Amino acid sequence: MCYGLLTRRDFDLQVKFSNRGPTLIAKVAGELDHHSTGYLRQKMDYEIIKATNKNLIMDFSDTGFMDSSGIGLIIGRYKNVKSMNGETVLVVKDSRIAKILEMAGINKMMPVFTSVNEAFESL
Amino acid sequence: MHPINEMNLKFLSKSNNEAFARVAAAAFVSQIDPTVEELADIKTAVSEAVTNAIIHGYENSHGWIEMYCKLFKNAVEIVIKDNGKGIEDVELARQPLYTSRPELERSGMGFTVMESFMDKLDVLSAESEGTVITMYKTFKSIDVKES
Ligand SMILES: Nc1ncnc2c1ncn2[C@@H]1O[C@H](COP(=O)(O)OP(=O)(O)OP(=O)(O)O)[C@@H](O)[C@H]1O
Ligand SMILES: [Mg+2]
Repeated sequence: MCYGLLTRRDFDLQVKFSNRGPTLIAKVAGELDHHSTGYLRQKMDYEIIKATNKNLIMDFSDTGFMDSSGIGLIIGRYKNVKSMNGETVLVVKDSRIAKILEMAGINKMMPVFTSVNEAFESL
Repeated sequence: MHPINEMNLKFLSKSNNEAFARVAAAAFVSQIDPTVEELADIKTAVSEAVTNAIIHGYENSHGWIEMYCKLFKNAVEIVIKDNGKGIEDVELARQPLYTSRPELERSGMGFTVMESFMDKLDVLSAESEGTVITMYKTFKSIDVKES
């Protein structure tokens, strides 16, 4: 692991949206902490309220870091999607992130998969 | 046991410093060569404590956060200190899912995360004085008899 070459990107978080029918896929790349959740929350809610979007897949395959700020973010989006009668499913590959989500009981609130395809097929 | 190295940092309670603090702590600890997994445990725990100081301690106003790291042959002690509002009931605050700020989408899992990723967690706090979090972790991957 190299700490000498810290680029701005290491601190940044990117979110890319795509659609498969009425399912919005939010691919979150980078580091998810309190600093970056503000930005992410705003971006995601803006997409979620669009009438064409119903279900949400939050894809954390490329999320390198997540602390408890991620839990609040996920539950918040889950509630917003649910209030519009949609379902939320997660894609998580990193075992540490999976452990944090499990500690908060998130896997009991919504399904968690290891690939976007599996997540999509579950809807 | 005597520390083999020490590092102190002082930074403002700005949310940009969450990433700075956890990366700095991990970089300092990396000199004793723990595993990538163990370093990730450190990053997560530091991120939790620093975020708490920013959100709860200083409630997003600006104050100083101090981080003291003591490195041992196969372990680290990290202290995170703020001079913010303090915790009224530490026992309650440490309960899983307890949060005083649900409206900020906090989940009350920070202390539980710190406890699970570190071996030891002490919380010392006094109302309107501040909070001191002391965390300790032994790196099982490092053989102390070596070198
Ligand atoms: N440095 C601090 N200063 C003042 N109060 C604190 C501090 N750290 C924690 N607390 C209190 O302890 C509670 C529990 O902290 P914890 O990190 O477990 O959860 P949270 O920060 O509320 O939510 P999460 O970390 O899951 O986003 C907080 O809600 C807050 O009331
Ligand atoms: Mg917290």
